[in-house]
Amino acid sequence: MNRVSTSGLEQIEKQAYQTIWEDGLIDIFVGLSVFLIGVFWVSQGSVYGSVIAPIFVPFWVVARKRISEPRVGVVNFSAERINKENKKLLGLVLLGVLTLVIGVAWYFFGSHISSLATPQHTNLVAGLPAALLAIPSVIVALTFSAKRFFVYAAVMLMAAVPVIVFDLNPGWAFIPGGVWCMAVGGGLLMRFVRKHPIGR
Amino acid sequence: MGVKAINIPLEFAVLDRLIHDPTRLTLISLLFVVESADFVFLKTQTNLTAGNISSHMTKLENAGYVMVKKRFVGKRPQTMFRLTAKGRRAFDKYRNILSDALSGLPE
Repeated sequence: MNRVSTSGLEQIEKQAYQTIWEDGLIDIFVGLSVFLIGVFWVSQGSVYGSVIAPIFVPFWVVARKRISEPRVGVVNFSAERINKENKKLLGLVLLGVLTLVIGVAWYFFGSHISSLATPQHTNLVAGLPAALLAIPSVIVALTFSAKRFFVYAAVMLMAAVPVIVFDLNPGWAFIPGGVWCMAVGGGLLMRFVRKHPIGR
Repeated sequence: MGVKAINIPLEFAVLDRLIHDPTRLTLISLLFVVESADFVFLKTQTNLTAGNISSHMTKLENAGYVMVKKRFVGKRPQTMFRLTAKGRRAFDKYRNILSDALSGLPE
């Protein structure tokens, strides 16, 4: 075991890791997914829009190769870091699925078994999917030290309020959250492209 | 009244000078915390010039501390750097010697 404090080296590694998330592409694709889930839910009354998110993953990979890598380069992190991130990612995916299942189940419970539910209950249920989506956002913020995901979580929670108060379709809470996420991602991408011109 | 001589810790004398250079220390620290990185990544992380990185990396490669792999990704050339086992051992040794020497100095 090393006798030397590794805090300085850990900081270097953390900074290098954060660089790969500075391009805003993940925000754009996550925002677009959330936005489209909302649009599907509002227009079709279905939650099938949730299959959109996995479809965007290859697009994100291609966008990273075309936009980010020529600008900030390529880095392969240690096996220890990759294992740690894979476990976190798996946890996030499971939590996301669980969130969706709970949200959808509660929504259908509220809307289809109305005899068992009070009006207040069904109103609260409508806001739950958005509120539950805020939980993975907080976890992403903590996992990747990306504080902006705290803001996304706050936006999702705030967007759930009018849905609960006015008893709107739950999809309406996703739309502003998704738009906000995309807008921030777009801003980050522009800053990233300006900061790291190709062939500097 | 004579000037009291300062006892320089002997450990400083055995520091690896190849690593001790500030630019190489920056590059080798970065490579130590990752598996491998390409030229562009080192450049953006360190703000060093291409020529500077190139010359220092050649020295590290010649010492067997760094392994260099060149390839083309599409039409773009890519140079990947990886710290060798020898390079990792040398850096670990350097860190420990420096830490011991500095911790031995009076406040």
